[in-house]
Amino acid sequence: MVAVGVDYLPESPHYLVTFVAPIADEDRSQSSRVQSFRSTSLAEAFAIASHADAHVYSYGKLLVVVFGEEAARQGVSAVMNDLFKHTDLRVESYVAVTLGTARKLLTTIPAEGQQVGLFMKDMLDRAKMQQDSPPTTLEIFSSRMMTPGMDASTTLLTPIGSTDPRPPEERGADGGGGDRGGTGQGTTAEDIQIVGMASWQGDRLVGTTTLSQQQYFSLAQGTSHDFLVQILLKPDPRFVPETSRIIIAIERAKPSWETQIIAGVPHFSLKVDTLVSLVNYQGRVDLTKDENSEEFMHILSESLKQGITDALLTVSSFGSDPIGLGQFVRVQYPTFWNPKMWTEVLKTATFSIEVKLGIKRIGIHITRFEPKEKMP
Amino acid sequence: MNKAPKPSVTSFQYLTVISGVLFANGIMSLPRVVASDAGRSAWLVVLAVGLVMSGITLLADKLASEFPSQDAAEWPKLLLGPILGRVWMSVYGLRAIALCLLTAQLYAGNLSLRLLHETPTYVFAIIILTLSLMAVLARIPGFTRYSEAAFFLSMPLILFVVIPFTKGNSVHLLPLIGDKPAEDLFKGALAASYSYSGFDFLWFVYPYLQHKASSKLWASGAVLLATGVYTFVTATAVMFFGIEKLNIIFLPTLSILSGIEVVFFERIDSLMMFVWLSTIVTTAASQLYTATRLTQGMSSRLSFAKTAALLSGLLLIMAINDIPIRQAVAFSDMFGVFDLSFIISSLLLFLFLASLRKGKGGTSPEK
Amino acid sequence: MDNLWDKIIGLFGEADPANNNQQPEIRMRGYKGNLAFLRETFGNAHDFCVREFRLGGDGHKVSVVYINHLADPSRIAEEVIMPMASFINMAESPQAKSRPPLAKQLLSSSDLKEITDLKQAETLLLDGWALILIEGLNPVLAVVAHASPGRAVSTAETETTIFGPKQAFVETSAINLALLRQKIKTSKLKVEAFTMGTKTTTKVLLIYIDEIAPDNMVDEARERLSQVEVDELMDSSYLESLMGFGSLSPFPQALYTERPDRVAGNLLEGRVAILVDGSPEALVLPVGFADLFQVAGDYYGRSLSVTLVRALRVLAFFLATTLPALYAALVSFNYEILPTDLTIPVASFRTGIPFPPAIEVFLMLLIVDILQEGATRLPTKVGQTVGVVGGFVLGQAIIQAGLVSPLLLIAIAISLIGSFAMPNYRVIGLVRILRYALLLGGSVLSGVGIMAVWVAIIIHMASIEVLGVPYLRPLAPLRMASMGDFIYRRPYINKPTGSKDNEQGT
Repeated sequence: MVAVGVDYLPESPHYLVTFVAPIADEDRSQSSRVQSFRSTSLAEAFAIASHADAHVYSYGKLLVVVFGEEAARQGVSAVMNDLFKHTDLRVESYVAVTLGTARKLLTTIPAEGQQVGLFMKDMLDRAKMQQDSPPTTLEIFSSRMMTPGMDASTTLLTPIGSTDPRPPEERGADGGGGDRGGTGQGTTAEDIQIVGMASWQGDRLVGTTTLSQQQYFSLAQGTSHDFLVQILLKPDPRFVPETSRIIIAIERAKPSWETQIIAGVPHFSLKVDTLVSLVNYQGRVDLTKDENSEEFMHILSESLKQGITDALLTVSSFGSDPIGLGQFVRVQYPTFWNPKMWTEVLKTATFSIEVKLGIKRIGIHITRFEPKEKMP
Repeated sequence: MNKAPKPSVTSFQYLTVISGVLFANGIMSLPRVVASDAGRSAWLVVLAVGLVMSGITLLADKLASEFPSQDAAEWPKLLLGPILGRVWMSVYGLRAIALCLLTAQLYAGNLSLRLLHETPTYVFAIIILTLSLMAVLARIPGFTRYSEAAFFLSMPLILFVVIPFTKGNSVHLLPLIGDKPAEDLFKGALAASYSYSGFDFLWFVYPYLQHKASSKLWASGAVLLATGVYTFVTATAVMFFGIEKLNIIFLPTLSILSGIEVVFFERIDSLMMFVWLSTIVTTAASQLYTATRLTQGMSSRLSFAKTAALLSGLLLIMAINDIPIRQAVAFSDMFGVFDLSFIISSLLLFLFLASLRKGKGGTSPEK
Repeated sequence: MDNLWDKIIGLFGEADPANNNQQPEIRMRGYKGNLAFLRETFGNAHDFCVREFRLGGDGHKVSVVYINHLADPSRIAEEVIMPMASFINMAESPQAKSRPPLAKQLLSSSDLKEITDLKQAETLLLDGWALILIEGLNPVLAVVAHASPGRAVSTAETETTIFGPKQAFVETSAINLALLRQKIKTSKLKVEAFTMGTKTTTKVLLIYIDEIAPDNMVDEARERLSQVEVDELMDSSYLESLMGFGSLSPFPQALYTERPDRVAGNLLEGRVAILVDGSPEALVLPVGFADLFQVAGDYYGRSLSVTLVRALRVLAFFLATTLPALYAALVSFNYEILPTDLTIPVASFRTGIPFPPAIEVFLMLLIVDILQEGATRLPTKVGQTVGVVGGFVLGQAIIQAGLVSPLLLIAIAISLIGSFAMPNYRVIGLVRILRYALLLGGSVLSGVGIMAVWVAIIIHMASIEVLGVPYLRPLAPLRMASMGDFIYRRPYINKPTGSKDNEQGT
């Protein structure tokens, strides 16, 4: 199959597993491409599906594994065990978490009419290229899940809106997904969007961040390249006369970490060497002059610093360690290192951030269009 | 061999046949078996073992040089006497048969586990043994040419390991030393020994070597090449998986390759399993050749081709007995220790006897 | 021949040897006996000609025997009959004392032999010589009088090049040898003659350049040729297996070429060549797997472009042999190896195909091979139509009928085109065999089966030695010096070299 969704329900059998039909079923109707099964484990669901359907399910072309929010919070190691025991598993499949249920996400029918699994793969491929929210694969997820002092972070998805102009009650049977063993409710045609990052601690989801926080976090991780950051600045007629918002493109962000243990509390110092390009500079000052550009870079770097600090504190407050700070402690302070207590210790960690920013491209116009004679 | 064999093996072929015999054994599970004892220092342990094995190979080459036109089916009788010599050859021959069968079974088990689940393992084992017989019947000149071609076929696949190497996290390798105590490092070293089984095949190739003067360089170079590959693969596995996950993966080398996706192919591990057959045949054929020559060495009346066919037939019958892969791996771990002990102790003994013989004025008789 | 004139003159003073009852029983049977033997041997063959006339006033009969169209009648008339008929007049001429030097010039043939063995006489007759039987003269005289029933030297038909010489061998070994001598003007070019075929008595020439070709290689070639015992030798292609070079192996172990320049080039590299009378193709030995991808034109182009083309040929060989098997294996068993984006069209194309991939491939290969065989032997215009019908119409129809998938057709087409890229027609035969073998392996055991067949192939090639030279050279054993003419063709430099490439066992 191309996608697997795992949800956790309060009543037994707890798992609601959703399979999206194999690639070969491109021509099948939308409603029959998705099948859901209640079971006590993924392996059982797979066995039921193999018996219930003549199609050959295979992990060889698995594109995405989606965990519903509740399933992720319950812990996924059993699911991972069931996935990895298949030798033809495609370990470069993406792992994602969805707000709500995975079933709802997988029954989404993208506007282009593309199969939902392929649609998500395309979307996550684009994200991987742009690296504004680099998606995690099964291989990386499972390794980080096993490693103390290092955790996984995955893309947070959600179905949003609808591209069908008809009212929901008129959309009828063709708007839903397959419903074998499901709740009997059809869904409407919707779209899928990346809305942030899911932070894990071991095999459990412990928190989610916004997309903006996730982007700042990427700067700290060193995985950001060529994504757009929208920064809100204090009103300043020189640099942001029209709006307080400025958009920059991150050309390069190179983090370097230092670790210290101060009074039993880990303190992490981060220096981020960043190179950015301005996308919508509309200031009235000439950035080719050093004094102007230095002041502007200082304002931007302070803003980035604030954003990164906020993101790091948020994620560490979950007890999640996607950067692998615990590994730094293990290597540098082996006597202090305690893998069993790291989650709690991390929540007390402090950070000091320094952002060194350079502007690569200031844009074609060094100041804004303003016909001076016409100004009131 | 009743007359001096015609020198037809080049130095590069000497290298490829020795390293080819080594590669098939144990590269698949080597990172795990070593890391389970040696922890994060696994790659250093593998490197150290390789350097030691390189020295042992030099000694093996030196022993071969004492009898430039005779192989190990003949000089044991000269050194130990006709009876003891034959006893030693019998043990050595049984070891070769065991190694041949183990090589075939391990590969067949891996194939059945990962790729072709419905096919019985003995089908693959039969294929390997049949191909090995073909290679053996080509004699040393033909066999070394085949091993050279197999070397060119399979070596480029190792370069794919660079991709997971770049994706790995070097923090998993730290600290270099100190993660585990010394006795665990030694256990890890012993576990790595199976990966070096088979280097003694040079005793059968040496008489055909064209440039015997530089043989030590090429022989130790072969082992160092294998060591380099093993070290690289081990380090990559540790960096890529982390120690905790590495210890639960059965065949980490294949698992590393399973995630590589390039433009034309995905699942490089499947490709690796296919192409690796060529190296497996090199190893299995080398041991079949060893067993054949040793059997022939018992009585000069035995025909080489018929002996090889007979032994191959016996192995085929033994191969029909399916050995579960996990048992084969466990056996290989034990076998490696025995093999290394047997070879090293024999090597030292023979070197000593050869030096005594030389001291008494005995020369290597050229028949 | 010094005493020939004397022998002829001596006839007038001697009794008829045929009447000599004390003539010993030797192979020669006298004039009548020899003539009767020859008539009896050749039976009523309509091209067996006997021209009788009398020599001298005392009625010595002369019979000139020849095979029409093997010997040239006009040449016989001019060089034999007219001079001998003139001799009658010369005998009565007042300038008779000048007869000896003048008469020696009467028989103006360039080559004259005195034969005392009827068997040899028969052979020479079949070789285009004319026999002169003179009443009273026991030995039979043979004069060269070859006609030229073969083709004139023309352009190569099977090995065309854009640049470089265009000459090709003909069926006459003497002319072919002459063409070679035009290229290699050195006395070190050695030619050894053999006669093979009890019924065809075909002349075979072993040619090599002394001091370049290794002695042991030449010795082995010579020994193998001398051990050939066969009734007939119609063509040079018989020799490869007659000389013991892998009669059951699908791999060509000799190079066949109709180009003198190619033979000359190989001779200068230290190889040996064999010319067979009646065959327009020379045999060059030893040859390795790498040589199968080289053509004469490679040596007339620029180094880098030739290198690219050679690389394409090697790639084409592997595609031609392995692609159909790979399709069967990957689509049947190991589709996880296919890139994910490619799996979608593969899966959709396979929908509704009634046959398993292996059968699909096998059927298509069979159809394609049958078409190819059919088109080869048909006249050009009809063959073209068959190609269009088979390739286009049949291919289109078979897809529309849903019997095979379009992807398979693409794979088969690439495989077929790859086989046509082979420079040597005999390699196409090899490609066909390997293709089916690999398909069998891939269908049964997926990639492992394909690899097992390739391993068997490589082992087989590794075990082949042609005149002591390994077949896989220069790859195995690796010879960096020879890599300058494997795929990469080294540019020409100002340095004469002897051949070091054919050292045996290396």
